[in-house]
Amino acid sequence: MITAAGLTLAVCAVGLALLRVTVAAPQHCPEITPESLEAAAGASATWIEVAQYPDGRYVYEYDREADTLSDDYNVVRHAGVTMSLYQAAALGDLSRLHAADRGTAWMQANLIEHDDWVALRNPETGLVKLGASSLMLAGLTQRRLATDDPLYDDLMRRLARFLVVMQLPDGAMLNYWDPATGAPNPAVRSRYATGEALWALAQMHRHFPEDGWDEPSWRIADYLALHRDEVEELDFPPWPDQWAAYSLSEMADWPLEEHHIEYARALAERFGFLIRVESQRTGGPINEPFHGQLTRAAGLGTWVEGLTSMWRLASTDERLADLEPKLAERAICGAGILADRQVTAAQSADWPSPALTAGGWFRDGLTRMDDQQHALSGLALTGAILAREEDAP
Amino acid sequence: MSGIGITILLIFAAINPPAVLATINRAVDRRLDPKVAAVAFVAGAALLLAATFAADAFLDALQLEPETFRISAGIVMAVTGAAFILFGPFSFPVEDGWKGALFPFAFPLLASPAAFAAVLTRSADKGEPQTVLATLIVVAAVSAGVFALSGRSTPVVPILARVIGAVLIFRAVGLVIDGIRAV
Repeated sequence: MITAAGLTLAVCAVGLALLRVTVAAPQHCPEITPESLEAAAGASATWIEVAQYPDGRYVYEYDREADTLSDDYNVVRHAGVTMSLYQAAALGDLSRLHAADRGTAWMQANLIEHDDWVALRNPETGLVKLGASSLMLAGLTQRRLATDDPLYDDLMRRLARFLVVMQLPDGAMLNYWDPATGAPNPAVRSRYATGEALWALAQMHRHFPEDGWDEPSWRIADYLALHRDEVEELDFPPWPDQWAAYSLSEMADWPLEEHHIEYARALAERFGFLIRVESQRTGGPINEPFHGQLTRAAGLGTWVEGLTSMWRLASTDERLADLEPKLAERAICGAGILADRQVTAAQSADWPSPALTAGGWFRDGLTRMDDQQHALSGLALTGAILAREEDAP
Repeated sequence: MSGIGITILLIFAAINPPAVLATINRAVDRRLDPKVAAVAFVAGAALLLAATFAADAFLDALQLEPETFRISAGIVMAVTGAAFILFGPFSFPVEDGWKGALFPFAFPLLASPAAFAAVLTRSADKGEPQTVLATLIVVAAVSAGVFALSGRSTPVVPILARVIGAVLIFRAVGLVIDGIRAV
C-alpha cells in the first residue's frame, strides 16, 4: 500500500510541478503608489521631451547598446506620441503642453488640403493615412480639454471632416486617401484606424455637440461592436482595441446601446486576461519558454489604457458595474508592471546616453517612441483609479 | 442550473462515482465493511473540506488570482476526464480495514486531484458555504453508493465511468473558457 500511495503522491507532485511552471505560475503585480505612478508617468513624458528634435519630431527608435538612433519615422506614431503628451496635460500635467505643441507644429507643416478638409500626410512618401489624422485630432481634443483654448477649433473641424470622408457605408474606416486619384483607396481597412477615428470623432462631439459628429461615431461604434472582427477576419475576437475602449468610455453618457455594452464587456475581459498572462511573465530561461517574452511597453501600455477606459465606463454604466473592482485591480497591476520595468535614473547611468535611457522601456536593447507613448497614457490614466482607491474608506 | 447545482455536478464528475465503485470492486470481491465506508467518507470529506476552507489562503500563497486558477483547475479536470475515457477506472490495491478506507478509498478516489481542483476553484469563486454543502452531499452519496453496490457484479459501471469522464471534460472546458474570459 505504501508503494502505491507513494507512487500516487509522486504522480500528483509531478502534475502540480508541471502546472506551477505553466498555467499556474505565480502572478506578480508590483506595488505602485500614487507617488510612484506619477513619477513613472513623469519620467516617461520627460523621455519624450528629451527625445524631441528641434523641428518637433521625436526620436523614433533608440538602441541603447549601440547608442544609435534609427532613421525610420512613422507619422501615425508621431501623432500618437503628441496625443499622449496632451493627454498628460489634460490629466493635470500642463508642463507637457510645450513639447506637445511643438509636435503639433510639425504636423501642421505637413497637412494636405482638399475640398473642405485637411489631413496629415507623410512628408517623405506623400501617403495620407487615416490614423495620423485621427490621432492628431484626438490630441487636439485633449489639448482643448486641458486648456479650453479655441486656437485649433477650425483645424479640428477640418480634420474631422476628413475622417468622415474616409467612412464606408457600413461604418468602417478606410486606411488611405490617395492623392493621385483624389479619393480614398477603397480596398484597405485598418484594425487600428477605425477605433482611432471613432475616439477622435466621439471627442469632437463632446466639444462641439451641435456639429453632428455623433452620427458617424454611432456608425463606427456599431461596426466595431457587431461586425469588425468578422469582416476583417481578426482571430480570437474581440481584438483588444484600446481605441475602441477609449471611445466607448467617451460615449458612456450618450448612452450606449446593449450591443455596445456586450462588446465593452468582451473587451474588458480580454484586457484583463492579457494583464493576468503578463503578470506571469518574468523572463529568463525557465519562465520564457512557457510564458513567452515580456511584452513591450507599447503593447502592455495599450492594455492598461483599455482597462482604465473600461473602468471609467464601468463606473458610469451600471450594466458593467460588476466589473469595476476587477478592472481597477487589473489596471493597477498593469501600471505596477510598467513602472517596475521602466529604466530608472540610477539604472540609466550605466548606459552611453542616460538621458535617452532614463524613463524608457527597452526590449532587446531597443525602445521605440510608442513604448513611451502608450506607457505614459496607461500610467497617467491609472492615476484616477489609484486616487479613488486611496479615498475609499 | 443554479450555482450549487453546478458545484455539485463539478464535484460529482470530478470524483466520478462509477469509477470509484469499479476500482473498489476490482480489488475487493465482497461487500465493504460499513465502517470502511464511514472512515472513507470522513477522511475524504475532511480532506476536501480542508481544501475548501484553505482555498483563499492557498491561492494567495501561490500568488494566483481565482480567475487564473480556474484555467489550472480546468486542465486538471480535463486530463482526469481524458484518463477515464482512455483507460477506464484506475486500479489500486485495497487493504482490509481502515488502511483501505484511507488509501485508496478516501485518497485518491474520493479526494481525487480533480476533486481538489473543483473544490478549490468553486470555494474561491462562490464561497465556502456552497462548496461545503456540495462536498458533503456528493462525498456522502458516493460513499453510501459504493458501500451499497460493493461486491456486486457491475458490468455497466466502467462504461458509466467513461461517460462521466466525458461530462468532466465538458465542464472542465467550460471552466477554462470562464477563466480566459474573466477580467
